Amino acid sequence: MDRRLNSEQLLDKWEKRRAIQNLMVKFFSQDYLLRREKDMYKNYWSKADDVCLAVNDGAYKGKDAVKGYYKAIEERTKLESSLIQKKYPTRLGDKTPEEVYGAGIMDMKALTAPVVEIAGDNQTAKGIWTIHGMNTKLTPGGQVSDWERGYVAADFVWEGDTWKVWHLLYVQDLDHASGYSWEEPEPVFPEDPVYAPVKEFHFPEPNVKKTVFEKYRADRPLQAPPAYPEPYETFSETFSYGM
Amino acid sequence: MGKQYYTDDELVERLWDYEDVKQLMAKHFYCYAGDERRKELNDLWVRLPQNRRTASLGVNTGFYTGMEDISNYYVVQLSDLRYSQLKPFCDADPSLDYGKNNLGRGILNNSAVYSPLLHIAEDGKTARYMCYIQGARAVGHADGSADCRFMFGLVYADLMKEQGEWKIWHLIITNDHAIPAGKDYGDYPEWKDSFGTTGQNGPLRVHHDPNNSYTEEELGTPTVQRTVYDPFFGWEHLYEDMPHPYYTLNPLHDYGPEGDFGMPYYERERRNV
Amino acid sequence: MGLSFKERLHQALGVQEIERLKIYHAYVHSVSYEREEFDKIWFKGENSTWTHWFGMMQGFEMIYYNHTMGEGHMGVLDTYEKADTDEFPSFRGGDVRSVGSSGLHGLTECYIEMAKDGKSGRLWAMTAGVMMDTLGHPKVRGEKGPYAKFGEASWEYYGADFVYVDGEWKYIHESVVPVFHNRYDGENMGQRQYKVTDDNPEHTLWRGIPCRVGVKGPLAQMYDVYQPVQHLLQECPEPYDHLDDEHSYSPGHNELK
Repeated sequence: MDRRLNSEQLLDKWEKRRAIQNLMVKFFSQDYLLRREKDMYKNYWSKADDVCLAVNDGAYKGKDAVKGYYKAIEERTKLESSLIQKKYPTRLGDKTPEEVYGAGIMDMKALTAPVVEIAGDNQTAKGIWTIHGMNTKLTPGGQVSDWERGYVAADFVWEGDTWKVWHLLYVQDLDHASGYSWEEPEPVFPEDPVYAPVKEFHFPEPNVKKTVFEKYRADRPLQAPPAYPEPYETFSETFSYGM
Repeated sequence: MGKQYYTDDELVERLWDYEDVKQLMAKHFYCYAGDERRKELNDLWVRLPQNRRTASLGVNTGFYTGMEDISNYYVVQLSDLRYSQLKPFCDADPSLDYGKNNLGRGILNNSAVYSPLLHIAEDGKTARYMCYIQGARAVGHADGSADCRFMFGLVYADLMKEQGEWKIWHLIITNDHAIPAGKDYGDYPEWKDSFGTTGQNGPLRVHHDPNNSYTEEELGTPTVQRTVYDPFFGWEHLYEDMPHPYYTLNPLHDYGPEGDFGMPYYERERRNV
Repeated sequence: MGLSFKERLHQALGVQEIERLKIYHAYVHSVSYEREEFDKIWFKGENSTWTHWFGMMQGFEMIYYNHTMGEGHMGVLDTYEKADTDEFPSFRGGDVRSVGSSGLHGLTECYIEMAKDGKSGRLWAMTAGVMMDTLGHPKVRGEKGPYAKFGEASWEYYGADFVYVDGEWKYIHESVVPVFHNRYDGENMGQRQYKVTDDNPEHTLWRGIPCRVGVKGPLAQMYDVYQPVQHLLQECPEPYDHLDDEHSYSPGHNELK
């Protein structure tokens, strides 16, 4: 608690902090589960030109790159949905592409351990959360569920009357098929001809190539979580979760 | 509806106390995950001499008490362990420096922190906290193999406000289940009851069960050796142990070695008398 | 019109109290302390509802009965059975509700929206639950041995409504959407479902209605390999003025009676 502030200011700051909590739960827990990648950029991201989404092996820097990241998720989902529809014609054959979008795949991402700081000038904020997920994706061998462990950290900027994501760091400590030890190679299951086309899909590379965070392997160097934010006055005083 | 008990200013302070305590404990888990334990003890734990003497860290098999013992176990012994874990990597690859920059090689230590329950004392001086950890821990080996486990357990803490800042005073990290990745828990050996020799009906146990919990070297030799948590009996005393609304911290029931955490019901009753 | 400082403070404290109630529920439920939940934190009216995919319990009496006489007692009887044999004598004299328990519907961070009138709050959250049994679970008995250990991830999500009555926040609606189970850690849930459905295209996860309900399910779907995205029953709440059928996880049950 910032003891320089009066109760009115402290309550205002508390409400701004709470708004960030709500934003992140909706973004990562609800909207990934409900396959709302189409609207993620529009709903959560800042209008700033220097938006940045950093992942394990680099960063999508700038508006077009970040938009392209979500567009790629959307395209992959469309492909997966169409193949699943083809696989289960009795159950899904009569559905429109919109109705079948996201069928049979699922990202479930639990957010815990928030550390959030609102800048003294109230113009920006920073936060970090732990992500624990189970994501079920389509492979040529059918659906495979992966345990996910990782961190999401963000710089937020106050735009109009709401917080928007400015820089996002979303890194995975672990992303491995459940039922298999984490140092083992990912399992490969016998190919289902209906699902073979998923291997043709390639996700766009980050436009900034850099090892940001290494996923677990038996000889991985120590990967400490991203730094949690400390209290700060204005953004120029602190570090950035962007690249 | 009763009359307002606290002033608005006090309520705002308590509003922030809740967030600050929750956030302080979240920071503990980030430090824990990154082996940044010196930073944790320096930044997050009590600083006043009288509180450093009575600070404690509980594990399944006992309590480390006082900051000297806590630091020796939590930082120094971990560093020794990390050096011993690094050695085989350096033996296998002579170009790899056997030094502090390579500590933590092959280690994964990720804690998802669920259900943080906390209450601030009515007197505003202390807070009590509890959460449930679903951890992922791995220790890699130079031959490419690794011991990868899901680690589960409840964590409890008493926190204290020192000069306006919340600090960790008593911390207990229990462990219930340590399930190897890729293996069914049902394939573990079944537990045999040893009536009269442990816990509920016998003396408090000071050894750990190798099929559950951290390894013996990870648990070390606590200053006060007694049962703090016995996975066999599970959460029998969870309701008594969890934080409830309270006026001021009662040392008989705190999360330090003087408290009754981990004791069977008859010991607790005797102390209450 | 904007809210006064006092009204905003009431809402902020309400957010924390609602989060705390939800977490308190998770812990007391984990040790079958059903009285400590239902006697203390629920609104005791006919519009209290508790919903799962198998159906909706309507009214406090039905909710209380199902939890105290049904689910809670099954766990207790199971513990009695273990202690009554000579296998686990140490459990004798223990609290049969909680001894040996160690599983929890672990609650994630919550989305919480408070009504402008200050009389209700709405919560959305996930649970990454774990069902644990160190001394044998009915699901694995016979399969792995009588007292084989058991661990399972049981993930769900919740929509819950709370009301402010006589100076206290109380639960009025709980709606649970189960999503998946995955055994620790000898299986891959997605691959299991894929194979089961490949072997039997008529495969369904529906297990019927295990208890007395007012509205029979299915009211939601668990994850399945052909399941359309779960635009299910609950989404994070929108800003709202007061609890009503448009802003509730239990339309039709929003009068305080």
